[in-house]
Amino acid sequence: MSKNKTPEINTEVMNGMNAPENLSEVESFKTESRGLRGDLSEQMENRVTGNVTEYGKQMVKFHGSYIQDDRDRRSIREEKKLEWSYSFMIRLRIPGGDITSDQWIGLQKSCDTMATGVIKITTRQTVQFHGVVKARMKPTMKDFDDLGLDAIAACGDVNRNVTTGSNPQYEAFHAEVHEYAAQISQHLLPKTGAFKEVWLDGDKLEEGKKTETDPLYQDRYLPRKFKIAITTPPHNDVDVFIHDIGLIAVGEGNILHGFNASIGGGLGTTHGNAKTYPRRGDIVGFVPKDKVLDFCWQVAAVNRDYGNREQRNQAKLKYTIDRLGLDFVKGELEKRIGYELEAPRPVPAFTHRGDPFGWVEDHKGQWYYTAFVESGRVIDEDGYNIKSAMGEIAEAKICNLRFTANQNVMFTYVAEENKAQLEGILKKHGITIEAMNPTRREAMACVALPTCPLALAEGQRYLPEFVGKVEELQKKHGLIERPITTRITGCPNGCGRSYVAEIGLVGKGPGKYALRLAGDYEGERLNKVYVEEADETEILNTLDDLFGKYANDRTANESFGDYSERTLFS
Amino acid sequence: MDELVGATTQAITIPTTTDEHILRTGKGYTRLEPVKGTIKYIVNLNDIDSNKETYHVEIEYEDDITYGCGDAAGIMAPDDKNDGDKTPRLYSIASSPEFHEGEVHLTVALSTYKKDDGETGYGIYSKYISELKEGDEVEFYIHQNQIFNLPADDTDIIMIGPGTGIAPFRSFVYERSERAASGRNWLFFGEQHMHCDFLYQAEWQEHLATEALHKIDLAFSRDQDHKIYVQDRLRENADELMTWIDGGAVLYVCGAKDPMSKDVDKALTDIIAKSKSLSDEAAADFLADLEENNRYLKDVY
Repeated sequence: MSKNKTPEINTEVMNGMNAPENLSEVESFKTESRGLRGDLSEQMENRVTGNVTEYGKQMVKFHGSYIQDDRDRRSIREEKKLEWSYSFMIRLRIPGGDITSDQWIGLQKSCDTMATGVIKITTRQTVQFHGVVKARMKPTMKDFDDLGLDAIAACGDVNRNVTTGSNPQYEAFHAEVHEYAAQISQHLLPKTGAFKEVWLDGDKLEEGKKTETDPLYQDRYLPRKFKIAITTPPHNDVDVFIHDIGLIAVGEGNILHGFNASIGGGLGTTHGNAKTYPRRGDIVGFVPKDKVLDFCWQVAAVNRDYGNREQRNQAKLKYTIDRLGLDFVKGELEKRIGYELEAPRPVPAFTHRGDPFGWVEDHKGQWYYTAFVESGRVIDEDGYNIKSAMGEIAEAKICNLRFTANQNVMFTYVAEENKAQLEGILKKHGITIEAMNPTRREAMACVALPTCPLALAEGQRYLPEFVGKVEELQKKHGLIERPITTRITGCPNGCGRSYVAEIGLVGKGPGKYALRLAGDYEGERLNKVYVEEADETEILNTLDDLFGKYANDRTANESFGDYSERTLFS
Repeated sequence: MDELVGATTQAITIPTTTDEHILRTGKGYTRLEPVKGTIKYIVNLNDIDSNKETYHVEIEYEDDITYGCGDAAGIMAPDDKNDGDKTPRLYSIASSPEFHEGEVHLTVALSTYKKDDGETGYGIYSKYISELKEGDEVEFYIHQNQIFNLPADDTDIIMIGPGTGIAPFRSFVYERSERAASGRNWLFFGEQHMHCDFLYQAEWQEHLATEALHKIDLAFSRDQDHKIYVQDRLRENADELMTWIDGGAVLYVCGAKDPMSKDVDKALTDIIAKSKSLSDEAAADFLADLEENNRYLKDVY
């Protein structure tokens, strides 16, 4: 079957779903957008407000951007007779998190001029700028373009940044695996010229003229965001089972054979809506490497055709699978890819998700150094001057950079003879992990307040303090040597990946979180709600009590997550 | 051709709407007999990242005085604040006598200069005003303006007021809104940055939403590589401007005399010349006629 031809959709299983009159508002935004152009150019020229319309808000997402306002400054802005402090967050598309030293230098310079100066490394291995006011949007996008980077499809109902396990130390075929991030990203990229037109003064699509043909996205794009992650066992830094597609590399020696593919993972939920839930992906089979691009394309196309376009909180592939059954979805997929999926091949078990801080060596004798970046914020703070260190290392031109799915930075492809120089720069800027406890090194949070419009509670601003208190309890019970995966996310969308943590906090309101426990350390199992809504005191008291029991009753080598699963939920 | 031009401008007479602008004298109307008011509210309108400090000052008063749109307030600084300079400073009133009854609002830029030793110096009066606190007493008087006034309610107005030149136009639009005036209001405003320097932004948005303000054109000079000023926005809107002017609209300019108001003069002359196929000289005459007939009014300093 030709990969660009859509097979007939099985309308029977759709049961009347997606009738034109029932479609959600965002659906018409997409189809009427003339290839994601909408009236964005005009809105960007409007100087009466730094905000955009509801329509504009949806449209800019596809261009890698969210409109936000600094919620801490709302009242002071009102006193000044100014509208709220609106600005844009721009997220780049950096498949696998790989950029060159020159690109880093350029990005930091752009962020200093156009945005807050603090680049944020995200859990999807990319970076984002915060605080870009409307007037600076075009110049910033131009900066990206000059650096050979873009923000295309970094948000919106499209395939998002493709993540790939960053750790090169286990398998010789790792480098080949890593290349698939960029290839898949490219293969699933929207074909519209809107990005050039809106931001880079590209030629305008004439009124009434047809937009670019896009066999995957057509004119309606996907019903919801779509995420792909690739990993090489035994490391699971990308949390491979929580993505629409999770690819687990299978190979031997230098040779990559293909991937065991999981489909239908996803974390986002809505508070108080039992029809929404986090879901672990299902392994559907082995995909040979030369067929993996088409496989990804076709999985996205299946959800394009069968996903729920009436209710956005039911639109993701995970719900399509649960609604129509895994067998149906797999069958539909096999029809489209044109072959029956082979049974998954044996792979080593996952053992951990945290980053390999310090040096690791790959099979070619190249070195990689991972440095800790708290909550991914590249800033000089309290003598830990990661911003200066990254700048100086990039200037030295002795490596490339890679952002990890744990929001840290890895200096890649360092030659043996340059290691000492790199270490010297790190030391000069106070970059060390020795003084840091294992739980802190692996902790994670989303941005949340004050800028994320979805945030219900604090995320990254609260994480250091919360982890400190958890560490105190670990010390009290003699548990400090072993990391406990601790994650905070400001709302149920779960960008901080709290649903796959041993201790997961999901924001419910100011100072209030759902406490989720019993995820495993390796990221194979989702956690569950232990306390529906708790403040810090209740959370810490609960953990104090559980740590005490865990310290006494754990079996040999049992993780806190596994202990919680065994004793609290079995 | 000249005759025709003359006919166009003279055919429309501008009646003054009320008796507000009969010349008042006595307490509250001269520097010799100021009244006392109290600071009700003071705020720096500029936000983080701005190069400016522009203060919005609301003064409450109880004396039986009144003012018209276009009038100024003379501010007296007490002896311990005036550094020996007792000359009061005039600031265009930014409030509407109808809408903001019993209050006088001012829009005051803190003026700065580089001293010989490289330190930053401040204008004595703007520094004094910027440091006022809510509840403080302040001495002022109304300085009437006999010319820079609102036209009849059904006349369209075009207001060009970058920076603190915005002040009287805030008064105009509130006043016309309160009076449900049928004439349209078109504002040209300019500053350095939209995000932090858009004086009274939230109010203008409200006025646009309620159609008390019909059109706004904005020039934020430092929000892009090349500088954009109000006169550039005038040129971009040449055709519509001429339609308004030919329809009897009154033009107002407030703000810096040099270079702003001169640049605006030049832009208007060019627009008129081009639109009416006139020589530069004839276009200048046309503009002078407008001025003569109180259809092009300036409050520049």
